[in-house]
Amino acid sequence: MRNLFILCFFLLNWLIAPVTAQEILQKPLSERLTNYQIEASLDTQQKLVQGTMILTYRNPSSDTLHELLFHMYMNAFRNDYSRFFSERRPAVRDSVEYGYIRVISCFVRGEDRTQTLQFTGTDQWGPENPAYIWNLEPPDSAFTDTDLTIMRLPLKQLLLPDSTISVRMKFEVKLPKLTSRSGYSKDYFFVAQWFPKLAVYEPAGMRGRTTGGWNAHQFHANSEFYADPGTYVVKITLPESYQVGSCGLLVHEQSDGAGNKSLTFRGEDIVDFAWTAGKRFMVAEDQWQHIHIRCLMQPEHYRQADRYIKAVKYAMQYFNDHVGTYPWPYLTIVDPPTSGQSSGGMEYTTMITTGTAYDLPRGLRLPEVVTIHEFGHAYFMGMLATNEFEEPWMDEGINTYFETRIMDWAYGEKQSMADFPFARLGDGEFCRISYLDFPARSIVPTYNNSWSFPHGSYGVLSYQKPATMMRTLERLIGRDCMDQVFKTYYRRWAFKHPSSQDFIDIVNEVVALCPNNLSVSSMNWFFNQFLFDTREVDYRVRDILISSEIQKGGWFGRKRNLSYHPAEKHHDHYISVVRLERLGDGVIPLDVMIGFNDGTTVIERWDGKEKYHDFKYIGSRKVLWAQIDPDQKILLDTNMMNNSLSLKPHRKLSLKWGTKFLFFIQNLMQITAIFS
Amino acid sequence: MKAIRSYFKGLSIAFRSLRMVTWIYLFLFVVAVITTIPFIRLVNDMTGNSLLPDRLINGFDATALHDMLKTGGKSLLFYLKGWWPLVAGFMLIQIWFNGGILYRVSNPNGPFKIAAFLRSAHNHFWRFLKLAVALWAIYLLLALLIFLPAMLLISLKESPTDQWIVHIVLFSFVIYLILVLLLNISGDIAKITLFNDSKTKVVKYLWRSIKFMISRFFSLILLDLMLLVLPVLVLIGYYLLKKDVITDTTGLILLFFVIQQMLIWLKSFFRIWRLGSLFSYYIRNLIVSNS
Repeated sequence: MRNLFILCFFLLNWLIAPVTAQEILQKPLSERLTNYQIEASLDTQQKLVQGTMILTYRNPSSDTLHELLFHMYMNAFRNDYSRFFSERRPAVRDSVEYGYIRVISCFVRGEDRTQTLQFTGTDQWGPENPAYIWNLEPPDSAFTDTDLTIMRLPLKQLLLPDSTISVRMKFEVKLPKLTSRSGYSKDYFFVAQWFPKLAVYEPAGMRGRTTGGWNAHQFHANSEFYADPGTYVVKITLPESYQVGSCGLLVHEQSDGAGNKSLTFRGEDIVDFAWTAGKRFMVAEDQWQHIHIRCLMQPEHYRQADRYIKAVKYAMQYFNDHVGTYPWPYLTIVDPPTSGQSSGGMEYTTMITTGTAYDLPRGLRLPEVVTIHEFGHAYFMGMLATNEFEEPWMDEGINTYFETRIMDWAYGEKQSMADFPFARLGDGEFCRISYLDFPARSIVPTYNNSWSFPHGSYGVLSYQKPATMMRTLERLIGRDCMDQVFKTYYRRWAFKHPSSQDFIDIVNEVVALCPNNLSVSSMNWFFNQFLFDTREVDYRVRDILISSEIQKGGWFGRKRNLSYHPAEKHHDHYISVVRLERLGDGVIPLDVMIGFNDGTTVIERWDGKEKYHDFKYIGSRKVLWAQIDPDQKILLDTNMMNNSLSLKPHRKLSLKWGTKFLFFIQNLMQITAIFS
Repeated sequence: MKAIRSYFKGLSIAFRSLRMVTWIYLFLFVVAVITTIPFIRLVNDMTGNSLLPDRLINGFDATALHDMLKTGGKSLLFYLKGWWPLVAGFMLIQIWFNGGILYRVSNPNGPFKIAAFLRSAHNHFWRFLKLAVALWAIYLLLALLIFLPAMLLISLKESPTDQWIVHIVLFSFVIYLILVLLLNISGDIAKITLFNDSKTKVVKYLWRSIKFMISRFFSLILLDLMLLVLPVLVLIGYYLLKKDVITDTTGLILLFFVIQQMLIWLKSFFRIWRLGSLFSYYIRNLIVSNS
């Protein structure tokens, strides 16, 4: 048996060697600790994927490893006891068709280790469900009442520092009907998180760890990405009538003459490998510099391919100019069918899924937002390979920040998301509004594990709040400075695993060198309040007080020379007092613009620390109005209405809206006339 | 030919009823102003002395609007939630007007007398109200008959594409719109016949009007389409004019207010024109059938 395995192993290597040798990138961008060679066949009738996989892994640490941990994420769809379903269940339809992944055999250095495989859990369910170890094939293996998305492979022969191990697995995947991310819908297949994928071993020092250890999390409703960049050579066999897209570059195609074809893809320095197959895909292609863009479109959406392509080109240009280069020469964009929309809006570094609707008005830029967002993940999670489970803000939050920047740059700040004659909405505005309108916005800090956000606060606190926070930071330190932050972040951390502190260290380092009017050398005060704490910002102009300057009256002089002077008003001299208040518990230094009756204005600076502050002016001019943060830099301010106060109310808006409303009412009367 | 003659006859009736058009316009203007005053007060309360709402002068600003509504939007929403009785009230006014308008349309010669208008409006109110209720019941029934099967069709298909769903919905909607349009013509003819014959049997006359409409289908559709052309052109002209103008000064706001009022006056004029044309068409057909 063992000899047979060795023979098969070498035969397989010999067969795919010419293909694996075709390199895509000129030089490795990452350490390539993990390398996968996978052969998979798709049974489109049974919705089954049968696969064999050879994983080679190099231990990057100075630790000796006793075990390997694998993500078995397709088991998230195995039964209702999975962590994923328990977190997501209310949102999933009743007609769920479940799926699974099972390892049929596992060989390490030629030795069958199948019977030693175990399942384990790391993220606690609650006090009654601590971490557990469960045998792969328990007596009642068909129905296990727990999550099976992390698999443990104990090593008989320990993996020494800097040494390499090879693991060969045969596995089977039953695809679920699409309810979320991965599965099938009719003749559309989206196959993600489908093979036993190695978790990340974090040596001491990485991401603040004091001791080395595996970082493996169960498949959650809100997170699924954290892996080492590596190479993937994946051969997929399926019926010829299917179009295929994947995270790899097609390097070889072969037909068996019996209606099936085998496609071999190669991906380098990517953190995951997903693929899709569909009978109805229509292909639209384009090129941006060195990147070949391939859109797999539903026929009814084909006319909208240009929207995806234009948006992704904007994103490519912007990231190239403001962060760093997209190194891969290809990108696949997948447009899912209506019945498979739950696989839309996903990111797999070199393949993204988007979504649109038939003849969606061009003024509603949801396809553009999704395309730009998902492409951005190639940077924030793909190259800057952060831990989505433990620090989701670094993945979704920073990416949403860049999404708003790109959308606002490409389509206009006030209309990037929706642009209609009657209403407009910018993407950045949308983020701020979503954050402010969420009732539980201060329930927990943004810095949190993805599964620990209570009351459905994950979305707002991981996407919109950090995006608004970063937009505020950008306005405080200046856009050039912010660009320097991200260029440095990319240069230093691409294809590595940065933590929040690593990012903050770069912000502090760059801000110290940037010219800005904050007069600070560190931005810890900012992150401590708005990332690690739940502080809220709200400043207001409470009052403007005007009084005539009074010459002081009373008895003056000494002894015999006492004289009486009545208190007198100086009618052309005024005392103006502008009273400001801090209503929130968040502190941000701010500008205050003050306007006078002679048309002049002054800009004052307030550190914003006290609960109140007065600005006082004495002279011939008097204050007419005051405005906190006139340039709207502090987007975290929860109420901009109270940021300004004018002594004379402006009534132009009520005149404009009044005439509009009158016209509307009159038209309503005319419409009722038609039906009466 | 009858359609074309009736079209111009209706125009002539409308021109001879300019005082009535103006009277109707002014009446409705006063009602609209009374409805608008609380709205303006609410907006003033909401904006207060903040400078942020000024951003809305130059056009739509989501941030300014959001923060404004967040601080004072509850009272505005409370006011806007009262739309239903408002619409019902407007509808009753319009039903009430019908009798007066038809009195003038049937006697276009001579000076317009408000007393006669009001008397006729009062005398015909209940029968026209019953007619409106009957028409609404049919609109609802038609909606059920068209949209329920459409929804059933959509829900029964396995993995439908969004294109297919949109086409089904659009097709149903167009069919419904056409039927509503035809029913609307029948309703207007029913009003004319009820008025002309001084009868109160609403359902019977509505049924007769539907039969009348079907028997002269193409001619009536032609007349209705002709009557639609000018109002549609005027509306397009208004929106083209408004499209690129930002009303950010008091002068521009007032200028557009005047243009809007002209448009509303014209809409009242078109309404008389339409009823005059249909009245003329009905009388012509009545004369032919009697002879």
